Amino acid sequence: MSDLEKEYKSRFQDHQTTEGVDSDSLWASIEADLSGSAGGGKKGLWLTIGGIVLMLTGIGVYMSDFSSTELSHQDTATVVDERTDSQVNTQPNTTDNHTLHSSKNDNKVDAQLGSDGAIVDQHSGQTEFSKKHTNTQAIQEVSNRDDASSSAATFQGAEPQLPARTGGAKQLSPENTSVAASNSEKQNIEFRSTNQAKSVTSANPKFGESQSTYEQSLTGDSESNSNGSKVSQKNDEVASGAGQIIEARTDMSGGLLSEKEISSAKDDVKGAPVTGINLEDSRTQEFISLMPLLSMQTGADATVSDKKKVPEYARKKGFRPSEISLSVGVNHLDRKFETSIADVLIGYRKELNSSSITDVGYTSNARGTWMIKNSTFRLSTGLGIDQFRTRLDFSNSRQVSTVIDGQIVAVEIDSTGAQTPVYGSSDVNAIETRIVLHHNDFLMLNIPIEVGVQTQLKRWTFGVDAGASYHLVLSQKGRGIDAEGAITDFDSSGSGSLPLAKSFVSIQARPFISWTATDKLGLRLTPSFKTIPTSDSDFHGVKSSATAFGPSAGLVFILD
Amino acid sequence: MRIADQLIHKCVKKERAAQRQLYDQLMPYMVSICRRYVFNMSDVQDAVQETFINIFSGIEKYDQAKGSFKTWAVRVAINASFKLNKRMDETRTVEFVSDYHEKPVDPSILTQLEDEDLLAFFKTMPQSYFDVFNLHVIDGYSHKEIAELLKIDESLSRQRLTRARKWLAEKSETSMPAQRVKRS
Repeated sequence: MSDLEKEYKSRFQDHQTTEGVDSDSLWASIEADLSGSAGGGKKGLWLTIGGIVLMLTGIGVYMSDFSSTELSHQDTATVVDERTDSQVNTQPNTTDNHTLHSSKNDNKVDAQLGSDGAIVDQHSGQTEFSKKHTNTQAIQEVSNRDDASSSAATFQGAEPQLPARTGGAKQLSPENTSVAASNSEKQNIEFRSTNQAKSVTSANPKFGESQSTYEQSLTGDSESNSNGSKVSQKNDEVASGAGQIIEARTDMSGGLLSEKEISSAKDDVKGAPVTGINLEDSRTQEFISLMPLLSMQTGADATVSDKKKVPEYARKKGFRPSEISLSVGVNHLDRKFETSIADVLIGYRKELNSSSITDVGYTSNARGTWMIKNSTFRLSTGLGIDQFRTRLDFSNSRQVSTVIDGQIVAVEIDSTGAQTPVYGSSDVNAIETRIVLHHNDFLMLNIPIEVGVQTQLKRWTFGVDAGASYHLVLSQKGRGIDAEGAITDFDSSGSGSLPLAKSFVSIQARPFISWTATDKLGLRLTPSFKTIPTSDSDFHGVKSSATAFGPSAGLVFILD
Repeated sequence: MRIADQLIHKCVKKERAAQRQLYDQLMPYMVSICRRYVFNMSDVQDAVQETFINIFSGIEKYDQAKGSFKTWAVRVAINASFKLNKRMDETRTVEFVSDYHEKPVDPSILTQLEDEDLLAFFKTMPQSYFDVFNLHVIDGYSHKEIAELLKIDESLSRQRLTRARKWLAEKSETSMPAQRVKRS
């Protein structure tokens, strides 16, 4: 044990002192802390609550959208059921209860009816519902097919009075009637009735995702027709944005129908005579043109759709974004300082100019994106939080000597700039190397506005957003080299100059790559490049500019 | 220093008067501990405050069978100081000044220094060495206890103590006397 160690031990073992501590004020602080210890974790608690609220909001937005999608699927299923049901109904004056199974995944519906219209076999389906069948549907559908003037006994009450569209020569006897409906997405609906000899085949409807065509063709069996001809009817191009809801409300030209038109059409159906329909009559033609719609609407009106009415918000997209993305990542900010020639002559600014300031932090962003022009172009905005932990890495070399009482004396300069002469040192005009490391906190809120372009390849989406971001500096606290060259504290909660302006606008570009996990959820990686224009720094007394780079990763909630 | 059991018992019951009494008894000692372990002197008061808050809020954890109350309180103070150092490491300014003109110091001069100056001299030792040096030489912790406290290997604790002593030996080689004068 060296003498120095012994000296130290003797001085500080069991040493007591109150130097530098105000006993009473310290106790007051301790007492206040003990009294308010219950609220000690308030900051953490509020952060936790905020995080939970944000998470729940995200889930809420996601789930509400998912719910509206569910309704759309249900509505589609209802339409399919009504159409199919009305086509195969052979006992219009009888109320049947049956169940139809349909699958929205493979879009396959397969059911079998007995001679009395009851389903005798059914399979394949995830969506399942039951509904009552009514006379109205049968009458509408029979009228719609235009082929119901046949003498088939099973079209009781309706078909004897209905004129054939093709001059009455084409008559159907729906004995052994089977109706097969299929769509372009492998949607097949097939009903079979086993005790009748004639068949009617209907291929309908086609439901495409972006634009589906409803094609209905009815073919009369030559065995029962007097001239052996066939009835073919093609109609109804039904435009369907989602391929689901809109179909139930479109006319034959694909246009949207108002509630008034639908209501009027329903009245027409209810009030329309089932005998003596003249195809030349404009009212009849209008009636016929609305048939596909009416068969859906009135069926729904009578049974299911009133209960499953799709809410307005599900039909109207409004200003809701196409996607919401939440991301977190790291940020790296390089600040550069610019000085004029005059400034360079001043030592400390020269030193500052030679220093580098590296800001490393994290960024978290929530953005909404609206798709423009077939999901190729994008418009994004939202909110982001950036926090930087600044590392001031400052080094310089300078002479350290002073003159005291006419003598040149070496000095030490501490971190605050205070000088301590070192007498007896043989070194004067010594070169001092100073390296200053310091970490500061900067917290900013940013509001970006970006436009972008994207392209999709299977599950992958590639794109780039570019635009500007308004930054509001919420807090800045730490130490830096001030305009006088001294290492000085700064704090935005107090007075005094600050290194960063209270707000500024940056220009940025954010390429991204997304992988779609489900039709509603994706993962996204976003490298971000940002440049902050030159601005005056009150604190440093120089102009500064910065560039930033940082990768972020997060989730994308797809709302469309 | 002996802390009365009755006083500790009252502090467990959160009696404010007893807490104040305990504070008055322990405070000078805790200040000394914190001054040795806290890197920046301006943070000493914060460390002492943190120490007493931890003592009062966790006093029921004190086990008389494991040692004296003072030993337990010292441990709390050392932990609070390390915690504060760790927190401040992220925000403080660290400045390295080259020792181009720095010469070995005469130990005889060091012995004439005030406590504060002597402590300041020892604190120029690398912090990791100084922590081990303080714990072992002044507070009497074994290397096993130091390893547990600093979450390091026991052999590393020994190594740091050796290096601390080597550092002291290098600094205390007799050379040209130097006098440090603070400019007013």
